[in-house]
Amino acid sequence: MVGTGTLTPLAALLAAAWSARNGEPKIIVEPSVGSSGGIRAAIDGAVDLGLVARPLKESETKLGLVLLPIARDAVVIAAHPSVGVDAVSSEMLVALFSGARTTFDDGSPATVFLRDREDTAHSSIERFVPGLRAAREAAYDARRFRVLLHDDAMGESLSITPGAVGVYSLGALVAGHLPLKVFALDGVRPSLQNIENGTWKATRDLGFVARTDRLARVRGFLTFVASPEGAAIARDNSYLPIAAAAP
Amino acid sequence: MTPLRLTSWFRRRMLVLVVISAALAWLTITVGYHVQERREMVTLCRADATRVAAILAETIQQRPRLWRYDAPKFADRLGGEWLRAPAVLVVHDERGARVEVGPLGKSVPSSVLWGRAEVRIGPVVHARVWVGADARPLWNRTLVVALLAALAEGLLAFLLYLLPVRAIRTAEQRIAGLMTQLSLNLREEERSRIARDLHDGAGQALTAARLNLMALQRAPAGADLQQRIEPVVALVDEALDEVRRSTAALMPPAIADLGLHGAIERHCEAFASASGLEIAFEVQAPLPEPDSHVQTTCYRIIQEALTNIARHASAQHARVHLAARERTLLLTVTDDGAGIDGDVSASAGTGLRSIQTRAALLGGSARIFRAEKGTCLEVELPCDAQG
Repeated sequence: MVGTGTLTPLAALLAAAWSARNGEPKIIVEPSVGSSGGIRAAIDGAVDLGLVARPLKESETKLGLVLLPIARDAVVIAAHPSVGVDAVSSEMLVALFSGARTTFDDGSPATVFLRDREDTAHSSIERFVPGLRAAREAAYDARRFRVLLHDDAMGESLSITPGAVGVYSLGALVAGHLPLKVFALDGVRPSLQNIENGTWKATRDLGFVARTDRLARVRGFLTFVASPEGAAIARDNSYLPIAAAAP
Repeated sequence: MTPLRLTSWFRRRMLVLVVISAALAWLTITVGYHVQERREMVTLCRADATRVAAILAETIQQRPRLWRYDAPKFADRLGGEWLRAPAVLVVHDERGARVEVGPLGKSVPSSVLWGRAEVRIGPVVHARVWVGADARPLWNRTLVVALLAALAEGLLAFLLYLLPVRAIRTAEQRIAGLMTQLSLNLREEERSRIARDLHDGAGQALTAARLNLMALQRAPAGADLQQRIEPVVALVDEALDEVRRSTAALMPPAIADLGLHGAIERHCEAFASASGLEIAFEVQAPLPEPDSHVQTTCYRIIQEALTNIARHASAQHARVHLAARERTLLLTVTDDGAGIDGDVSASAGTGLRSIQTRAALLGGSARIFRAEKGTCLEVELPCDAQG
């Protein structure tokens, strides 16, 4: 499997559990290449399953791919653990991304990291934070902040840069055991429970994509992912399982 | 007197030279600029390709199997951080298949300069990277340079052409003035000589005849009249001869009577008879009909040349050859005498200098040189020369 870095940690845990059960075929999870890379690898047959954090485009569906939703992930505002605050408002978030503010409320300096324009994490949260998209686009044009191309690079940068703040995946953060601080946004704290009850709205669905002619080969693994055991692994890592039985 | 036409001659040749020089200089500047800039762009592209290859090698080491699927993001990062815009990136894998690299690889301009580098990990080549730069701005810059160079070269060529032409025109006017003066001097000299001849010859004879006639007037009638008239008649004949010689000097009567060909032929025969020189006269027919002063000049030159041979060459034979090339008379006079020694121009006597002057005044030329045996005189006279 290969694809989005948001799903890669969960996919690795599921693959490890599948291997522990001596499941066949043996599942290998490659480092992140992004959703589009995962889709292209699946189309080419380079992998059996691509990992995606976005819906398929019409052109991709026409190529004979099927999307198998696996889990729902919370898109969160994550920061370096040394940051002295644990919550931000929408206004504060926009001010940080627009460069209007360069410090947190406690006066400590803030360093914003961005994901690339194609990434779905930003768009997931921007639906609920007015002005954030415009601020982000302006930041790209002004080359105001460093742009990271993969989830693992984002996680690593947030972890090692004092004052760093950026948009990240709650599931990847938990499954990857990253020592990051997760901010509450406008008083709502991201959690599995708040995803389930709809209080935390910035989410995106993660899934596998596969060529129909490859489905039979991985059907056993997909059944395992949709099983209570697979769902428990997802839930334990703050992913909300939504997997259905393999077609 | 025929105009020298130095300026028009110089203009024609100078124009060709200046145009060729300006074109060569323009070509050198334009092509030199383009080649140098092109080389520099290719060097930069090659440097970029080498850097991209090094970064791609790291990506391949991290994702040895599936690096190609991460290439678009990799290329995005390069486009934002590394490559000079506008740039094109093309990556081929180890089998030569093209790897998708996102927007950087999609739009390839019509004219691109490429730099190439191999992606090596150890001895193994995993991919090849081409970084391209849009060459269209270079073509536009070259066009600007070409236009500026054309302007500068045009101005320079104009000056290079104009200044010498003006100098030559001034010199030609001065030469024309000098030649006019020389012509006037020659005429004045000739008139003086004729006046002197008439005074010394015909004048003296007529004076003597008048004195004789006055003596006859005072003499008693009938006394040996016949004897006294005879010397007077002789004196009048002498004066008449002198007048004939003088008028012949102005315009050889033989030309008017016999034409140039006949006049020369007769003169050669007469001169041979008087001097003992054996003269061969040859004409390469047909000859054009030159103006009268050209015929006179030709005739005088032959006279002068034969006189020189008789006086100075110690020759037995002489040859006069007359031909034509288009509207130019070609006269050659050769002898089998002692020949001219050393510098011809320095050694040329008054007679030879006179020949050269006569030819030059008609816009022609005269060349005297030592032949295999004896001396050779070559003269060119334009048939339509103005006197």
